[in-house]
Amino acid sequence: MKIVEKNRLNELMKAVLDSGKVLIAPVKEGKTSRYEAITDPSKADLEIPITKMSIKEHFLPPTECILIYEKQGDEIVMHDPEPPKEDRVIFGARPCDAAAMAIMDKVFTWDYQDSIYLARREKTTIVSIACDSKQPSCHCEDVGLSPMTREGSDVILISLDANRYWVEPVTDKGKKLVELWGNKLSDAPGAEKKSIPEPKKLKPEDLDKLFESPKWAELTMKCLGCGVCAYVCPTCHCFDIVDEENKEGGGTRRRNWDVCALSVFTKHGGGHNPRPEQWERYRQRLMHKFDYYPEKFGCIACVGCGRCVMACPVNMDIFDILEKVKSE
Amino acid sequence: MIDIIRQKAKELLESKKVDVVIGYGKGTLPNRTTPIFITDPKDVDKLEWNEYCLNDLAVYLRHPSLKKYAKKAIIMKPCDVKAVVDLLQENQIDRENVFIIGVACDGMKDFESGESLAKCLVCSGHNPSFCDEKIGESKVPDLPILAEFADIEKYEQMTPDERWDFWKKAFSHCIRCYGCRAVCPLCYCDRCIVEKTIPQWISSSAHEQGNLSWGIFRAMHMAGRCIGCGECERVCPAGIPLTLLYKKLKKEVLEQYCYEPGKDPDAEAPMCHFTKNDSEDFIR
Repeated sequence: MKIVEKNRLNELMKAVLDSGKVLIAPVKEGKTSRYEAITDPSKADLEIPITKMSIKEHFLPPTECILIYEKQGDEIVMHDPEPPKEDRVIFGARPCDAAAMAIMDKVFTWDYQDSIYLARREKTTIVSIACDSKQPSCHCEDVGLSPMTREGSDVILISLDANRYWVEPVTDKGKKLVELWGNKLSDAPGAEKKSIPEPKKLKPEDLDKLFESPKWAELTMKCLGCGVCAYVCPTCHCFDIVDEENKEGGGTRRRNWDVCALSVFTKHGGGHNPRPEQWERYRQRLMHKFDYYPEKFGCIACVGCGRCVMACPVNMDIFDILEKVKSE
Repeated sequence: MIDIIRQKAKELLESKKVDVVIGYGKGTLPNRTTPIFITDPKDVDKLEWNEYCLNDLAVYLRHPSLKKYAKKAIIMKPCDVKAVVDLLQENQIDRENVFIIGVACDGMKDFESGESLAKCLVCSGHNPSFCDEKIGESKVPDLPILAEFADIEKYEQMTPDERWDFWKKAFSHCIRCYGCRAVCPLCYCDRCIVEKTIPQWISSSAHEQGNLSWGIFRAMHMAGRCIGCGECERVCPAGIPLTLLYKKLKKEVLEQYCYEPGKDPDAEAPMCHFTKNDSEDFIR
């Protein structure tokens, strides 16, 4: 069993940098906070209960080039963008964020092996720090996870007492990182590993029969139809594909975040919209997470991080709405 | 104060003067209020009023989900009323279909940090002037309008290059969630310019060019219109200080046209009115 003194975390981050890897950690900036690549460990703020933006952007960026095309004479030549080369360590992720990546892996390896996403996943080691306290918006236990969920993490640090973290490698990538840390960690034979609180057993949601419920329109009337909830969400993964031409007749094909809450998401060229009303669009978001995704991939597409609840401009609360729509 | 608000809402619904009362209710997080729509007089006790009534509810006056209610009463802070004035000037709502319950306001606080909102610290109107029913009275002294421009001075003193770098950095984190657009009572276009694809004026990609075009376009559309509710900045997950941009434009319009948005529904807004004598040729 390995432990690390809480005041030595900067040394662990420095070791990551010294090994030539990119270090990504929670950073506070003005009114927001996010996981950002840093070169100075003291910039990391590991006290942030949960960053405003999730770690998703480091695997599925808001915009990214997925194809380059060039005009060569009369021909159009296409080639892939450079694959991600650098090894990265995300230090100080919340376990729910790491768990979200395990959920996203399922869709990105489903009918198509998404090479760009998978390369980023492969080249990234996630070190999460188990949560000591619960925010009012936290719901991990309601979706079958816990503040110490290992899922998706490569290493997890769990607080043993005021001064020490228990360091647990979860995957082979995690073991390599723990080896790299070497003597920055110490043995603590007597220390008792904290037991994981048992998360609530989830009953499979039976939302199919609620699809036509008149409650959707009533419960979602205040939704303004922006993309805040989906974009701060670590598991929402819908994207749009656009081509951006340059002056030479070539250009890039890009993948951009997209969101089912926007009316243009499903609007057809001819003007028809299969989800014309906002409540239908909100229902889609909820059904996708709690009904369609479990049906397809065997897990809920929500880690209960509560970001959407905190960030929604009008306090749409997905957990509250789910409860209310179920209570007939 | 809340009793008077509830009583008024009840009276309006019972007398069928309005079909809905748009107000604040209890949210699902500590100190969080949330927009609620009361249609049954029995539900008026769900209405709340406290120092966390953040949302500018004027955004719901044109909201498609509330179209079914022809006559709306709306509970408003004095600053929010300015949005209604602007909507009236731009012929977006009918005066006879809106009943404004203006509530005096001592200033609002962020529900997360408990800190006063920046706009409240430089407020020039704590008591509603344009409304159908005035509730309460604030004794907090009003500051002159120029007070709100204090925080843009620093940016005005920058060189154009420094300012450009500042905004490039600020917008680099924009994720194009359009929260700013959704929450803005005056961003009401049925089809936003960012959704236009033939030709595509603004790239939908969240890269430097796309984000800056979006940020600048939206700012220009706000010139002489933005009433400074600050909702865009409040909800921005990327923390972009959007109100600095809009304040600068507000100041320009004030200086150039002696015009302040949201004051007088009969006033001619500089960017929204055409006269044959316009000194600019391009518009004729």
